[in-house]
Amino acid sequence: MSHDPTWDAAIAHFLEYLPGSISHWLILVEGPSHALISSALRARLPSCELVILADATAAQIATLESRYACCHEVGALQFFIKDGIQRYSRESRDALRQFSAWPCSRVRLCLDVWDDNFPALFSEPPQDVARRCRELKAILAGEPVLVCDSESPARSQLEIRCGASEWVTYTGFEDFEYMLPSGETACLPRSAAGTLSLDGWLVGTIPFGLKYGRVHPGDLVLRIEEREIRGVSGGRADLCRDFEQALDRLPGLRCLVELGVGQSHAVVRAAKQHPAGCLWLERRFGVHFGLGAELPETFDADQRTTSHHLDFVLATGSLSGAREILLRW
Amino acid sequence: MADIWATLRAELELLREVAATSGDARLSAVLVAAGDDSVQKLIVTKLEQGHVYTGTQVSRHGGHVQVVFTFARAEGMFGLVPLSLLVTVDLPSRRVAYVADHHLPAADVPATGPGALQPELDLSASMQERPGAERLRLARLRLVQGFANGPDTYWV
Repeated sequence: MSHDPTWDAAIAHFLEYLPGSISHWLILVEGPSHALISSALRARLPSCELVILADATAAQIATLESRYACCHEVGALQFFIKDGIQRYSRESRDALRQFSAWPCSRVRLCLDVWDDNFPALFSEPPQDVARRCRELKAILAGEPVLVCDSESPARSQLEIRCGASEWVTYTGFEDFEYMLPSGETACLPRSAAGTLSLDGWLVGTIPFGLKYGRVHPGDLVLRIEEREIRGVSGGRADLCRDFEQALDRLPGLRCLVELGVGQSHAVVRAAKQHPAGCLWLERRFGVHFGLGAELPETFDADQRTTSHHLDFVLATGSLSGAREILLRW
Repeated sequence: MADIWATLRAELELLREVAATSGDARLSAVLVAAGDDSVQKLIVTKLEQGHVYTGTQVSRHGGHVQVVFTFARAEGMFGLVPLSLLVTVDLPSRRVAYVADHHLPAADVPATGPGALQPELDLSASMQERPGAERLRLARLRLVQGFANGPDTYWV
């Protein structure tokens, strides 16, 4: 369809993420925002079906899901936009929920990916990102104590103890990783203490990113002790109020459960296109901290205190080990 | 019917000249959209059914242009099915990428489109736990949970 080399490269990179065990793909898209993606994938996938959610009934979605639920050679490519989901009926969302039971190896989920940002988000060869993630994992595994410095005007610093924590890579090629774009190495810290003045984005299951976009130094400052948020302050009253309300209603969000290090330069480029904070920002090259629901690879999901998860994605900063700066972004 | 096709062809010729003169990519996109065989058949069918062409809406989104041909029912005709025809044109290749008939003008879609800020958003509706969410058998379910189990609000 498209002869734009940027698009062609992005589609080729995307296809590299698809497991060879799948011979037939269901492509679920929302509608016009995914017109070019769906058109390009249909042209390149040997066997696929397109489901336009804006046009499909709940019964059609449910029928399709049940038809293929037990077909191990059939997979689902899902393109959803955070602020678009509300348009669908509860019945349609219930039908879509059934896809959650499909094994990860049969699903690739692209949240907040649409035609306008697809070429940027998939502009990097997946194996390059994966290599960086693995190399970083090897380095981080040898550093029991890390210091994250925001390096922003409102300087903040967190000391994180990760000794004996398991570092997990999310490269898009693991059995459990199905979120695209991929590219992250993360762990569940043993402890964290210090001050975090957010210079970046707050994204996750509560759409702070959609409401506030880029957060600037001094807008929201957290005091963290024993891996828990003990104080909230900052110069942006509406943001601080919303965040404190979230902590009051969902106390599990007080807990810092993830130190993640994104490795995607493509996400850095794509983030410049949108004022809002998108869900793929956690893969941005640099550090992010996760609050709330723990990574299932490092924690028993049944023991969660909340099912919500928020990521503080830092736009600038450095991460240091015992002897040197390991990463600067 | 012959008159309708002749009119369409004449309009296309006229548009071709105007688009070439102006150099406006949006006009070129309308030309690509209206020049597509399947789109032409849909337009002609609507006109044959007595619907009245009311105009063309064009919006640009990065590398593509969305062209909406709008129609109205003639006076006295009753109908509930939306008549608008949406055509997405891929500008680099100058080809039609997507056609959707019965396009519903997006009254409930944020006018700003995806990726825009929504400063008036009420986040409190999203700040609820969903019992049973943890039972989903997902390897990395944290983002999906909200989407899968959320109430009629935002959720991922």
